[in-house]
Amino acid sequence: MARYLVACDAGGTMTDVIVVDERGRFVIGKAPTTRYDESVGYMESLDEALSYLKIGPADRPAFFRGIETAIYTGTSMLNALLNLDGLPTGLLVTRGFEDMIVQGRGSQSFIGYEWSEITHMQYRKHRVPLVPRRLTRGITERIDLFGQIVIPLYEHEVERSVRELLGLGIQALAVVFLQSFTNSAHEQRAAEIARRVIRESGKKVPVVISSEVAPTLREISRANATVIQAYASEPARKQLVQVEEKLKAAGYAHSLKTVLSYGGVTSIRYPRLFETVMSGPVGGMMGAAYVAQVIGEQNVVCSDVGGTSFDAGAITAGIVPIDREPPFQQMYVNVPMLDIRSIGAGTGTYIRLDPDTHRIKLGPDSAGGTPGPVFQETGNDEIPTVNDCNLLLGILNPDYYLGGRVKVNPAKSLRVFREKIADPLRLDPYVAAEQCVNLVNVIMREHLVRSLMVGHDLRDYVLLGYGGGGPLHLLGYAGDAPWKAVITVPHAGAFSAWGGACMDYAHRRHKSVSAVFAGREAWREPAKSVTAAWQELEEELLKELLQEGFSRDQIELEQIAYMRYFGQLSDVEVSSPVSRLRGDAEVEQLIARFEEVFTQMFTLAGRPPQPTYHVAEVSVVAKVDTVKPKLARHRLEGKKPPRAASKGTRKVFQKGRWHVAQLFEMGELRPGNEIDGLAVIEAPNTTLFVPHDWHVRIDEHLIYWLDRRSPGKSRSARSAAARRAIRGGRR
Amino acid sequence: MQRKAITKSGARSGLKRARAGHPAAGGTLRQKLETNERLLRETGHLFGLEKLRRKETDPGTYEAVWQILLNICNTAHVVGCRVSSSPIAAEGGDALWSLHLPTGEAVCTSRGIVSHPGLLSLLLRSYIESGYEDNPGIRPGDIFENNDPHFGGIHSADFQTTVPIFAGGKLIAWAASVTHVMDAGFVLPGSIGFMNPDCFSDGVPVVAERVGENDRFYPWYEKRMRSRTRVPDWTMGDARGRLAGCLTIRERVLALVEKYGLDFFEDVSREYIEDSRRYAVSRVRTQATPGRIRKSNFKDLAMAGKRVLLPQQNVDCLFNLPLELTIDRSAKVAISLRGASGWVPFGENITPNALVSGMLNAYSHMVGFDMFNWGAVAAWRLEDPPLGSWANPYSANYFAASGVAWAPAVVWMSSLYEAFGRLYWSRGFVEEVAAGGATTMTAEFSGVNQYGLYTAGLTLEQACNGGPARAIADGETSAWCIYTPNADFGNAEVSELYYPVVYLGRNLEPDSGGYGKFRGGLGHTAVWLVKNTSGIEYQCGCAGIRSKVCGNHGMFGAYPTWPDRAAYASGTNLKELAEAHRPLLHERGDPERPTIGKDIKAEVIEPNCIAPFVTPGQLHEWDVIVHPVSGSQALGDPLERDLELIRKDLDDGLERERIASEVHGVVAHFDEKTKHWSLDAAATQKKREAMRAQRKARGVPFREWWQREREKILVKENMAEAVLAMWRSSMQLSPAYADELRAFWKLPDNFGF
Repeated sequence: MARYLVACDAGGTMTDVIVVDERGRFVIGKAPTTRYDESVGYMESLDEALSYLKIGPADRPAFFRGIETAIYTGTSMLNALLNLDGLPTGLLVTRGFEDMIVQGRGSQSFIGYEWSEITHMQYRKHRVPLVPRRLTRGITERIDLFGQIVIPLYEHEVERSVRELLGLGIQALAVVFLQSFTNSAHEQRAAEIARRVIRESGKKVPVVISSEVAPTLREISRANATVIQAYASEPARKQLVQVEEKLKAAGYAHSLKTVLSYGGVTSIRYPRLFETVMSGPVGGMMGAAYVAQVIGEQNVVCSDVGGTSFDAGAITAGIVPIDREPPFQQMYVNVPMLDIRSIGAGTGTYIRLDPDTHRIKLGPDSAGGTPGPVFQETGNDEIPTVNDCNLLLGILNPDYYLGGRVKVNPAKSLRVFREKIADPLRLDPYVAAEQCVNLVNVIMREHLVRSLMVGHDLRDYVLLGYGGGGPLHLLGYAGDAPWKAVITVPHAGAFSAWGGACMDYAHRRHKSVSAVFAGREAWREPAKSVTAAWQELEEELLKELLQEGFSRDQIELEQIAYMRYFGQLSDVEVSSPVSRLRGDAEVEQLIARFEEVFTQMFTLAGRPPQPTYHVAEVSVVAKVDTVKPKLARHRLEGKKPPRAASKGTRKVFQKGRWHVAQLFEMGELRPGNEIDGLAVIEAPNTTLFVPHDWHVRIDEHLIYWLDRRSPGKSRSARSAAARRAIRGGRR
Repeated sequence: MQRKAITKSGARSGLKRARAGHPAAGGTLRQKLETNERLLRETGHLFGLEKLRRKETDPGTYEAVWQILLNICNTAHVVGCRVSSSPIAAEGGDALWSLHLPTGEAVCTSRGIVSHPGLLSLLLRSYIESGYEDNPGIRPGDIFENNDPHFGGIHSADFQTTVPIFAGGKLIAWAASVTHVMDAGFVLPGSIGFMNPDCFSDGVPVVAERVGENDRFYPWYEKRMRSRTRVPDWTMGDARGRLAGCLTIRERVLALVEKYGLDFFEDVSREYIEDSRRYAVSRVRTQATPGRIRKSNFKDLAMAGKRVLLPQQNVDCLFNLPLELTIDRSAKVAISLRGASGWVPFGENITPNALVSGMLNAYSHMVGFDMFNWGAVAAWRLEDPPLGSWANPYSANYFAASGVAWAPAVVWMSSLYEAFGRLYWSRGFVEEVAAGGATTMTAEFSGVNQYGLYTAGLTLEQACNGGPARAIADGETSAWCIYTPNADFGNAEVSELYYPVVYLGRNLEPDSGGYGKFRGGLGHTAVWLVKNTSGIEYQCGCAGIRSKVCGNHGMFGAYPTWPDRAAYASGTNLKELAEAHRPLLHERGDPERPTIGKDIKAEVIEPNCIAPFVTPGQLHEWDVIVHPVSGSQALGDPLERDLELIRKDLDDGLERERIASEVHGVVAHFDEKTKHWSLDAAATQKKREAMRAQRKARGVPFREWWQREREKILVKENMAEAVLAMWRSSMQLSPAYADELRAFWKLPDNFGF
């Protein structure tokens, strides 16, 4: 019987499903996301994928029986937070902090704002609290930063508060006490009392405590994470179970898996389901990590151009970046997530002129899929978008937009763009359109080069572009930055779903510590505390994974320290070269690794002359390798694309005038083919635009290598040299 | 491996590129400065740019390069804050990096504390005016620094670092930065030096001087910081952060110049500034009604009878903070402080330059910006504040202290909110109206910390309180700070890492946003239990507070919130109460009946200390401090407040029933079972009508009131010495204001206070 892996990425608009067979071959289906019941959209998308595999109704039972792993990345938890339809949740907090959730912190009121919006006080707005003040109770207790009990837990207040909250109809209870990550005794005891009171009431109310959810510093972020777990995880799990039931009814024999925000796969019955709260962009970066392995590269910048946003993250030394306190839904949360930075720039981004200054303004809002660009004739008659420019410039094919499924009206784009942008600027519409596209490319490049890559040398990094608009803008935003190489893949349009299938089964735990490495003679105690924390986290993780049926020898552990110079507030992630700090030699290795990373990021000016080192948090990642889709290796064919790939020519406006561009059908190109710009390579779900001075070579894995043409050197020789350099780890 | 970006070798390569030549290529900087001023005078446009040529011919690249510059400055902010070690810079964001023209004007700034780009611009200008081109010379790799208000600083806790950027031997720009350090070496520990009597107590001076070369600080600079500030590791961490950010700007600007060409860079840098000026003018023209508006405002500093440093400080001071805003037909804005009272023997005097920079901050809040830089400064004219006043002290007292010069300025800036707000209202832009801002009462600790080491520093509590009421909604709670839009107070657990205290509370302070149709955003109250220390001092400081008077009282008939108060108790029985599981202390409670005296016993209980003050001695374990931070101001008649808003505030514990009844005139009931409040609409209407009738009965015709008040003035009835002194100095320093005052009240020509 054939074996399959099925992975799904249910986004806000579309649900993508990828089916991978045992040889690593894959097909991708797409369908609209159905928020009322995500299993509907999931099955429709799967149906489309099966149609590509030519699996008809008669073969479906065998197919579903053959699914070895089904992975689902959905938006159900996010929706619970957006629609405020999670469980009515009660909250016990340290007395005096009853307003913690309502109050939040100031910076939560401007998450994601532009600078000019941040300074404009009228825009300030906190989100609607997930737990209203009337469902919050303060409990007298205090533990200090050293974990010492300063004020004992007033147990009678816990009992009374839980009874009151049950009377008010809560269906979940969260407990957040200050400094509980250093000593969880009060939270544990409060939970015991709460569970007893709940039991006595005959109700079923889950109790969630912050020291188990996220045992790390910063009570507001820890409280937000704990409340999300209490409020949204069970409704989300219900949706996941619905998907699983549909699959099982069709013959699937195993449990459904879902994706963790920090990149990894876990069972939908995973207790800390809040860690899956932001899994949308994860697939892309994890897919990129896999592509990086295939091409033998350690440093990859992942860039995803969608209709509304540009998401980017950098894999360094093979490590996917983690943000331990990311902003999420106008909250800061102690939920480790992949560090993916987004800006409001995509193919659907609106283009306007500022009425006061006549400056070109791109977004940050966008037309998205609906109403879409002006040319789409689905409601946007007023504001041109980036894709309207791409169409005017001849880069997009009016007869092949989304594979020809969407009708396009270029005349309307031209009329609206001329009226709203070009005429007021007193520019030719095509010149103005090119300037707008160049501007969005610069904004994307700046996002990568300056915001994301602070302290990193671009020459060490391969730039990977994906997303529906990735190949369209990739070479524009790659620009003349000195990337080690620039690549994309033919399945860029559904890369996130594909990446979802590329993940290991992985769990991750963090813990705050305070280990100060001053004089060498005083290294022993802090070294012991770091080692003890690693061991504690390892034991927790091993227990979880062993319970999920993995054997110890399948599990790989990675120790991480978050280090800083003593006195600093920010730290850097250091993947420890040693698994234990048993003696000075191991501490030295850890410090050496830290200093290497720090000076690379923050210049030597940031290094104190006689430094003391501080580890404020540690983490352990436990991974289990899983079956993944393969980028199959093909036999290289000739440089010249086959006749079937050629689609003729089209005029494209570049650098102020019209040029003739070669057109190709991406699906017909073969490994080994090479194409010089100016060219447009089209596929139903994406378009690769190759400007004049760029060259494309397709390798044996169907990865597209894009490099600048330079006089005096054969293109293929340069491309091959770049690849050899990468494989050999050289420049 | 040779790195291009910001590594040491990269920095060196930038330095090497920059060597050779003289900064004055193409004329001296002083000549350029004079030319710029002449062109502005003659054309009304900065740099004489009647046309923005680059923008018009190549708008896409114009925008693209702006985006690059913005990212360069923000990258510097990331680098600098992460290198900096102080909680204020790194956690509170009280820092900024910026790019300037060779003549000083800010071109582009990072996020951060927007009060400073104006000052940094004027500091750079002061180098030129002082002839630094020739002596000591400006060379690649130089580091200049300042914190002295006499030469372009605001107060010495704000350290300003500037680094010249050379290309081909020509000075093409400056990188600059400012951070607020934790301790500035004032006479008392900390960085809010309200108690400083004169500039000799204003902390370690760095006087617009070269403090390093070849991208490194001089060793004697570091030695000075180590011996003259109390927490030098934080001070030097900030210094390194400022420098690292500046070097980041320098290297990346040089790369940008290589790509786009020096001519293009120089052209667009100037165009961005002129564009910004045009934007500010355009915004005012679009949404404000032209005309003249005045706002009276007062701030006090009640220090009589408290612990002070010098005998002459044993006084109450009252500041007159008048604002006159005029918008002419061409949308030019003129601002005057005519009538400002005299300098004070505390660290609360500010220079006109700093006030210009503060105005830039307030302008960014109320007028907005498209490109934040020096341009907006040319969109208004600030009349020189009266010589010898708190806003221009040096002509009368060159040694006036400026330890926390922002203090009167932030209260004065709040008037600008209301002045613009009224002009927007009259034009119909009601969404843009904002009542006055909250005050900023600070808390500083000094003494032995929980690690057994000496510490001194400022908490972030005041850095985030309520936003002003809007004409369409309540102000947002815990979301704004008048002197930094990066408003945030961080996490209590982070504060506990730095100070030997354990938080017993940090809830919102009910009723702290004034009373009106729309209330201001609320402040909050920190309750600290002193712990893990052999003794600390607590300073309840003034970065813009009201001791006894209500200066900003809200708009359109709103009532003000109460003045700033704090409380403490020492020698308490809290330990015994905790062991017996008895009620402790977690809130301030009703300001008229503070909770601190309710459940605990102590050797000393001070339930309602008038801010600011310094505790008479050290506090010890189990002593407790109650530190409320005010909310913002309200807007509109409190009797017009929507019942649902009141009900919600009652439900959320953000308003006391007493206030709902006595101020908003509602009749409310609490349901013990559902824990919900309900309001009786009919009874409320009746009650409100009765309250309106009472108001009417109290009212008198204006002329009658005027006559009564005039008589009081003539005999100086019930006027404290602080009041008399304020009016005396106001009239003395501004004769025209004195004439106007006498004319309004029909006082004798020789009348004085």
